Amino acid sequence: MGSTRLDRRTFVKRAAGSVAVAATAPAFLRTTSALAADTVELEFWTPANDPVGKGLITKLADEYNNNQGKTDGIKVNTSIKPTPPNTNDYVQYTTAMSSSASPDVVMAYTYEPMSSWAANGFIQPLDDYAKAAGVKEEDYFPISWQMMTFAGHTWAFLQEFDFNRFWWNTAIHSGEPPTTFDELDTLAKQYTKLDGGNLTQAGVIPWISSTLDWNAAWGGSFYDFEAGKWTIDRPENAKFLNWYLTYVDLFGGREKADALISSIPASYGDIFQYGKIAFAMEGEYLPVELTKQGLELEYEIGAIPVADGVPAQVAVVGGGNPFVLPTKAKHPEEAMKFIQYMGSAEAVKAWCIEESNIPPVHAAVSDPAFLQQLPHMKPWVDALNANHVQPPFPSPITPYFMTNLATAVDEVTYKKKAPEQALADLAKGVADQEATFKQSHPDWQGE
Amino acid sequence: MRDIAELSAPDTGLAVPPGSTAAGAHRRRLAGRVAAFLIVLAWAVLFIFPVYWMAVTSLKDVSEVFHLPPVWWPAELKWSNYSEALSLFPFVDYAINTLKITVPVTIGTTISSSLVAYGFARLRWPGRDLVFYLVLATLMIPSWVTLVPLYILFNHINWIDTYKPLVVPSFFGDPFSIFLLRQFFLRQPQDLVDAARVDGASHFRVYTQIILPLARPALAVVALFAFIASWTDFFGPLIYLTNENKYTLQLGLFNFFAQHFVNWPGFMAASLVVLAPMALLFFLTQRTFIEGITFTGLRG
Amino acid sequence: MALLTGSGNAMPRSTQRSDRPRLARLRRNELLVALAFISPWIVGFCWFQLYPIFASIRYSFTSYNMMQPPVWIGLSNYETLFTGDPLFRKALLNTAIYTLFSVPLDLFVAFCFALLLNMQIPGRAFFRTAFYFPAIIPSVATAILWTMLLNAQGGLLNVALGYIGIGPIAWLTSPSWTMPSLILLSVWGIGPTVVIFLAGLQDVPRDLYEAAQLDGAGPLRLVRDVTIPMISPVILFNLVIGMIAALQVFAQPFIIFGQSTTGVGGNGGPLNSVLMYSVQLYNVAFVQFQMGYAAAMAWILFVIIFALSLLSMRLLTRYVHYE
Repeated sequence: MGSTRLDRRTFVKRAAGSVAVAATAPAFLRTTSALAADTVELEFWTPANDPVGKGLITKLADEYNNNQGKTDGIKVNTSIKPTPPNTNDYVQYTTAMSSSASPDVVMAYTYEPMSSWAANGFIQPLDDYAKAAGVKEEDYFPISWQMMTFAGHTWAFLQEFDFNRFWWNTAIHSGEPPTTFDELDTLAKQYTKLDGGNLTQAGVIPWISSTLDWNAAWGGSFYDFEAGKWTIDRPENAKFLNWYLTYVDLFGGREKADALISSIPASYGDIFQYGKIAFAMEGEYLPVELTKQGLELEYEIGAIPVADGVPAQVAVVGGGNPFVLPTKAKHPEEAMKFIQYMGSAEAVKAWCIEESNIPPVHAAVSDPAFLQQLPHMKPWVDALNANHVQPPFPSPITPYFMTNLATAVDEVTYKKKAPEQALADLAKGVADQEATFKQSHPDWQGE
Repeated sequence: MRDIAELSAPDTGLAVPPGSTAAGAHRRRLAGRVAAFLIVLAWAVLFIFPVYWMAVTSLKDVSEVFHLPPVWWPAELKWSNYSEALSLFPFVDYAINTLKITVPVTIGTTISSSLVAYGFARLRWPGRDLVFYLVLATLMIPSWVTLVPLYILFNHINWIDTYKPLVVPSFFGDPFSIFLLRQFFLRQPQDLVDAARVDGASHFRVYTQIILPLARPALAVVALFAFIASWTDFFGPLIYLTNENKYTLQLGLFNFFAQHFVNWPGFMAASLVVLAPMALLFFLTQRTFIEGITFTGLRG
Repeated sequence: MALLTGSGNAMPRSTQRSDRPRLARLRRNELLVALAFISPWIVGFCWFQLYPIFASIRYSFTSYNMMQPPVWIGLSNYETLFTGDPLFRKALLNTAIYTLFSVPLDLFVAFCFALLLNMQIPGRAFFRTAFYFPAIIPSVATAILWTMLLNAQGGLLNVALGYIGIGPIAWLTSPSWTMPSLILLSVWGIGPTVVIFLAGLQDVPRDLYEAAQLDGAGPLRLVRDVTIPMISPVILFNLVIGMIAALQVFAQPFIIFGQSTTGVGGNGGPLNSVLMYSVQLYNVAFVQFQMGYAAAMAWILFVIIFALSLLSMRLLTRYVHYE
């Protein structure tokens, strides 16, 4: 880890050198620092443990080390640190970030914790660095910019972000896709097969991991972005839950659907990938996943069915890969250079094309090579251009909300609570958390 | 040497009512034992079965894992699952790391606990029993109460990402071990100690030269428990060791699962490899183990 | 001195009357020596128990996220816990149910196994290993293994139940069956309890059994009137230790039910049916970054453990027969 004194001296030298150069550098940073005497080693943590992501991130980091890293005098040590099985908890990350063993650069595989990391001081704002590097808002899609900049500061560089589109299994449904809920319900009923009380095939099982999508499609909204407030118990939000209940009744109980879902060995939510349901909301990374897992599925992709008055191309951001700078990073200047590299159009394109993800910058998407290599991305590009994609909630209470939203959905689908009651309880829980949070973080500018 | 178990195994179930023949009584005893044997056998099979399933799964091809009807014996024994798993899982490195923690912990726990136990067992001083109850009371403190402050403390003194937070506390006595050893020491005849003391030996000499040698079975038990607890510790290494080079076997296994979760056979293979040393250790030492616990006279 | 040389098998000479005054003098100043012997524990206690205990009491009155300094909020955490946190109540309830069912069940099964193993049957060493083995399997492996075995469609348990005509049970996905799954899993881990019972059983003097048998006692009466009273301290010990462990159960529920059945967030299983106290504590501390709140929860847990342990020891001590 080196002695602190040596680091501070190196830091001061570099800070003096790099700020001067960075002020005149173009967006894709190419500093010719004359002080490349000692190589600064950066600790870079990433949870990318899937076969493609792991290889890819290591390759990108190595490419940096061998090219620009040499010029910058930086060597990045990549550590793959997955989150505990079945979870998205970054326990190791946050405990490390609060200690003297903090990594210099952190990449997350989910976007959810970002606002709570920012609000609790685990990561530091990147405004000055971004400005110095000439990063411009126009380069980004409005939605991705909103993910990077909130509560008055820039907190992250996005590598990619995700949202779902509506998929259908063409072996089960070969016609035109439904565009309204009535159409969807009619078709789904046709495709639901109950065999001696057991569900063997379903038209759609709406509550598997698409809660925010369906709520948006029904015209509901949990958060008011203009006012910066949670709007959980809005009556419109009960619509999608009531719609869920129609399917609970159709199947003869939630347990039937769970039985079908647990009939496949892989992780939950893959029931569509195994061809057991006709319609599902899936992400843009799935085609690559399917090929890798050797799953044969004939499918087509389109926009989600919507209720009256809801824009056709509505979508809700489900996640993203942010690169952030821990507050206790030992080499923040150098770390920023690497972060900017990973957030630049070239690196972003490289990642997105191979992993089949959505790049946050216009340049990457409008590049014809993008759609050429990833033809299935067209529905996503359409949605981006229609500009009805909703960003993630910028509140630090978001992780709490997401967990308890799942509980609320459970309570409704197991018929323990009425939708309105479940929403009211959820709203109260979130309000309590917010009150507690404000009490101890009075100067957090966001919500 | 006769098995201690045999010495005190009761002949339950087979009282000899006056008047019945010796042969009849013998047959009844035999019947009882056969019945007991069969019941134990059935349960043991049930208990071991999941482990068998682990072993069998480790040799299957992925497609056979959740196959219906279940595949009791794989079509082909894929030993390559093991070599593959071991190539992805640096077993030797992680084993060495784990030993770097477990060995000092075992030694530290045994030595410190026996010293402390002696202080409670063979010495008389005011407040002794009260303090001993305090020692026992600490067993009731949930680890969560101390977890966060300790983490912050270790953070302050820069012990994060070292083995120190996992090893150092063991050198200060473990309540459970202290309890076991005190029980054992209490059963040693007071005469032994008194005679030595009258002859001018200091307590320390009594401790090292008389009590300790006699305490071998109890010490073995304490050492074994400490070893097992340290070897299987998961949460401690999870939050204190941030550098992959320092990972222990448990942590490595957890990482392995998170990274290759679709590879069920590989994961089972890796688990069995991690498990094997412990199983061997237990099998070899179980007699000592049980004797040791017996000798500590838990009943007292 | 011949006494102190050689191996521990040296024959000690017994104390005599003439030694008594000397003994009395020697015993007087044992306090300092004693302190020397127990000094490791004293230091460790102050450093690793006392200091953290006080620190965590202090944290429980603050809002603290480990990055920024703690902010004093008085009794607010405790207020919220008792009045406004449904998850806390659920976790408490779940943990109580788990403890209430798993501890007596485990004790009973372990005791029966120990009784059986204590008889003169061949292969005892194998059986002891068979029962103890599951307890040394790494928690991650156990959790994954049982996720496989309890799978509703292809899991072996349901296959076996299917042979005797019992329909597939959704062990891990139905809110009514998740708790039984955990309790079942706890039985699998009773190895150490069996071993401790065995050790206790072997300590019972044989002549007690013989005497009872001469009086015409049958096997069940032997167990009830001789065995149980004689090992009652061991039973109490296992009960208290088992209870303390059950109240803090973490690894298995955490890993098996790590993700809710709707695929998003939550590690309490369907409808939070197996949200355990420790798991909820972990959530509050490491997912919501509320260390102060978590400290308050940890304290409440401590009070519960302490009270229950004292209670059981008080209540049951009249049934316990000491030598």
